[in-house]
Amino acid sequence: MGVLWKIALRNVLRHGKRTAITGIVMMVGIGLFIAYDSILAGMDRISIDTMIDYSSSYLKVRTPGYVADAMGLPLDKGIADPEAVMAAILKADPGVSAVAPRTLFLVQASNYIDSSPQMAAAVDPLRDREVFKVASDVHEGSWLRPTADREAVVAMSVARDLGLKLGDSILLSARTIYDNDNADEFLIVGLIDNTAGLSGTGSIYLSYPAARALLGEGLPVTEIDAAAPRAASLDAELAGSAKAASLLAAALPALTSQPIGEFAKDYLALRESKSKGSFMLIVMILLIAAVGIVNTILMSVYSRVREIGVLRAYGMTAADVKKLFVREGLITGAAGSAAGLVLGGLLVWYMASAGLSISGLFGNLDLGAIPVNAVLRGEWKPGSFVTGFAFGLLVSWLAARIPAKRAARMQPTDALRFV
Amino acid sequence: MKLHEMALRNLGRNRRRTALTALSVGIAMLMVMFLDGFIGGFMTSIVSNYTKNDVGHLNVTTSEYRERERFMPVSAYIRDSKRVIKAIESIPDLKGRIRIIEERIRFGVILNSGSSSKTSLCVAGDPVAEKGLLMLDRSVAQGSYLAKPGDALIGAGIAKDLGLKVGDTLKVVTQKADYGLGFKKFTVSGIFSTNVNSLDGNLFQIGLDDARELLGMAGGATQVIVMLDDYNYSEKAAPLVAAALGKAGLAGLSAIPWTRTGPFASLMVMMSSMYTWIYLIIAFLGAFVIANVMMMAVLERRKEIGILKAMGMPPREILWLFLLEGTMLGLLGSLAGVVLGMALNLVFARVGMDFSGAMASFSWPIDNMIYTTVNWLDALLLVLLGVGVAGAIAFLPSRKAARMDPIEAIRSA
Amino acid sequence: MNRIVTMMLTLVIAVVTLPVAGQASGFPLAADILSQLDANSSFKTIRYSGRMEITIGGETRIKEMKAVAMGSDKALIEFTNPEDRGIRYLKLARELWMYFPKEDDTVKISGHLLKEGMMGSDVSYEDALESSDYRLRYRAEVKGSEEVEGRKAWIVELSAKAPTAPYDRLIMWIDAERWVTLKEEMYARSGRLLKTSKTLEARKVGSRWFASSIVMESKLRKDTKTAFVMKDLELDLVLDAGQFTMAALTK
Repeated sequence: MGVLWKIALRNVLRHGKRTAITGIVMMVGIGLFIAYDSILAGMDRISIDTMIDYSSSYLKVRTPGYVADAMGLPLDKGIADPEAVMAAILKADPGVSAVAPRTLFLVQASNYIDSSPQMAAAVDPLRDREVFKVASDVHEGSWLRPTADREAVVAMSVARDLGLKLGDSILLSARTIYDNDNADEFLIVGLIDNTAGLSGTGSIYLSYPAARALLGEGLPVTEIDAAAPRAASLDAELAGSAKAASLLAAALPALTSQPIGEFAKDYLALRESKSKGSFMLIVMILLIAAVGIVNTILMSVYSRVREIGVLRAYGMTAADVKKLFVREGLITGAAGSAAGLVLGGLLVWYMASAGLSISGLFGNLDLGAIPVNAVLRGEWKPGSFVTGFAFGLLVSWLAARIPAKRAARMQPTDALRFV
Repeated sequence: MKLHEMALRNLGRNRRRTALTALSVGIAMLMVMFLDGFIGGFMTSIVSNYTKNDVGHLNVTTSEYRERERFMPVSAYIRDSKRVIKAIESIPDLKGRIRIIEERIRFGVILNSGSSSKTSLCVAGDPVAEKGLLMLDRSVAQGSYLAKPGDALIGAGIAKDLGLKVGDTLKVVTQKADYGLGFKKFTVSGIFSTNVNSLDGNLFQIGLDDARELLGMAGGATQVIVMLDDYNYSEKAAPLVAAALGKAGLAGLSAIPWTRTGPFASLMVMMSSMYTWIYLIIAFLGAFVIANVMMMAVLERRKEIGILKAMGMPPREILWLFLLEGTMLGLLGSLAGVVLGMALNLVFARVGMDFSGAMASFSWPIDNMIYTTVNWLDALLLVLLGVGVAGAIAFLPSRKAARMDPIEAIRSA
Repeated sequence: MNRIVTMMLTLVIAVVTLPVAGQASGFPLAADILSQLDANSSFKTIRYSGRMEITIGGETRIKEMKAVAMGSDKALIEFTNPEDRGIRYLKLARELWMYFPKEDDTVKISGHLLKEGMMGSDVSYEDALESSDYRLRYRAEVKGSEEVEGRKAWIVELSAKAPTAPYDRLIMWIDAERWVTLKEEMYARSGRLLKTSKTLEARKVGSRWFASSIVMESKLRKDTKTAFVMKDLELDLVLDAGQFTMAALTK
């Protein structure tokens, strides 16, 4: 270590208070930048997570005929051997942790007075809860039992519109696979939060035995949905899903495997349009932090111009004086930036592990269909740590360099007179 | 000598320090102020882009339509939509706040060409007003936007499915408002391509009068859409509209703000509160920076405090002197920053910032301009924040210094 | 006869699903009753003016039409109610053409749209265009007899042989003298009653009785029913097959 470095370090330590003030402003600025970047990614993520948890899943496998006519919910275009397909999915991509079959269909939900068309889903209650979150959003009552053939879980909004409550029966009528009508009463065993509305999947859930009693024994499985452990970032999640889809396309060429990206296209497009605005916000945060950093470093250099005079009088060269001050700035900058990384890391760690409860953040807000138990989680973005640190060092270097250069060029006598 | 004169003289004596501190406070304030306008504009842009295709900031339909909204029951249309518009436009509190007010009809149709048919969603409004709402004119890939009666603008997916080209005839069948069967032929004037499947494959735009003819309506529309200058105002405006409609004798109508139009709107409301939090964090950062700057400035003055004390100035007066200096500095910086920030906001509220560069890769029909918002209340609050923080930071260390042994204080610098 | 009603109903885009009566063979007595009923209601050609009142949740729409049909493959309908005046439907086998007089143009509805519910209704064109033989679909059994509004009726229960039948079970009250269905109950696979239908008026056409006014009521939703009245009913008249061509549709 050079002598100048040593002197610089000692000076930094000697002016503890000044260093602390500069360090703190850097810490807070860079820490907030890292946290903000993380939460912005988290906000992007929450919409995609909702899709994964309630409608698209990590990966959706259907027949090409079904996909072509998906709006029509064609019940005659089901998957021939769903068990084999599910086994094949698990085998083809070890990243897939769970699979579940589903069949979507239209029903008329009625209380014998009014009726309203609703989207319904036939599910395998045990497997479905491993893939989708609907089961955990049962607000009142319980999720479907696997063998129950006369039970339904219904979205609160549907029940409310029909004036029904837990334990009542709901009359469901639907077009069967035989192209005739069937209707029956189902006991409402569970009411789900209005997540269904948000997700667009369905507002009424039946077990396969119940759905088959209504729509016919031959009711096919029309889609297989898969789940995977949550990836560290949105991009990783999308890439993982796309990779899984291509693996499956090879393993199951007769079926169509669609990754999240296919379903989130519109959202991802909108996100891109948002990104420039978000970038601007981030830049402004850094600029505000820079104002603080530059000011404190400038002040600390100016307040020591007299010291420069003393050093020069002792015979130190102008270049060395400049170096000394720049190094002091760099040391302060490095320490402050490091503190910023620690603060940012702590904030991100908290937001990523505990998450910010949406209901906590917006307690008295009427959120309508937002899942009440939704949690906004921060994302780890290593890039922002690197950016934050580099930014801190760069700004301190620049801030120290300018006055140091000027001061170093001063005559010792002028410097000593400087107030 | 009066304390404030002394404070002023002190500020003038060390020009560089004063300038540096005030400049730092000012720049920080300027940025916070600008961000305040920018975040407002950013959210306005997001909310507008979300609401413009469907509900608008305020949405008026008949109560009957509202109940069955997702089936788009054309039969439950507003007969007197012109009077609805008049009634809304004459609300005193909304004077000058309405950016766009438009009648619109959305309905399901069967499109037919030769032996192919396809179900589709038709959006009909005033073609000129729709340039600022649907904005499909920005995504026309072939042909041109709606120009004359009988023109239709169709999505690229529809064109592909039905084998249609610009200039071809398109047959449209739908259920009329009186439940009869409606039919009309259109000329494909343009094909739009947004690269968003749900739009390209489903959406079909025609003029309002053509839609009325197709639906057998003499006038009226299913919806009246209002875009306000500030989306935040819609919750307050909705009851005003409802009251005005009631007063005008227009019964059986439902006027709701965009925030009550479903789950996605709730998500947007959540997002907008999220940005409020972000602004608060930024304001906090600004205050923090100001605090630091002031602290640095006060730190510099410890020696002076010692000298003043040694000269026999009472601690109370020293305290007041420094408090005054700090507050003046804070006021100077904050005021300059906020004024400049507001000037920026005013400029960009008028000319807007073009964010279209980021979207070159696709032609999503949204408004890429961000117009900053101008929030006078926030400006006032920011000045108060700046002065408050500066004053507090000047006060605390000064108090400590004022109580110090003069010798210690002189030596401490 | 009911099949014609069904067809008409669906063709005019009713928003209720409709009953289709079974004509079945079965046990001796039941078979006799049904064959009488069948003989009474089958026709080679038909022509009438009809009026339909479709009530959904208390709101009523009216459709009026003139119709001619040949067998179950060919039908031509012209609407006469003000909203639809002049619009014609031509049904040929599994294809449907619509003609709009104002624009003097036709639209063919085919492909997957035939399967999809039409304009928010849950009735598809395919329902209307299906010309299957219901005789093969049900087993019949006579359950007894009963008076229905002063007329003696056989109670016949029809049960589906296969799940593809329009209804799982039907109970019909058949006039013992005139061989007209007086009353009908349609049950779903779950055993639940879906709809009821009632003949309000029967007319003598030539030598036979024909139900000319029928009302069908949904049991799943209040105030939802369809009433259908036929006037100027003619059966087995001589019709020109040329009426059922594109040329005739657009003339």
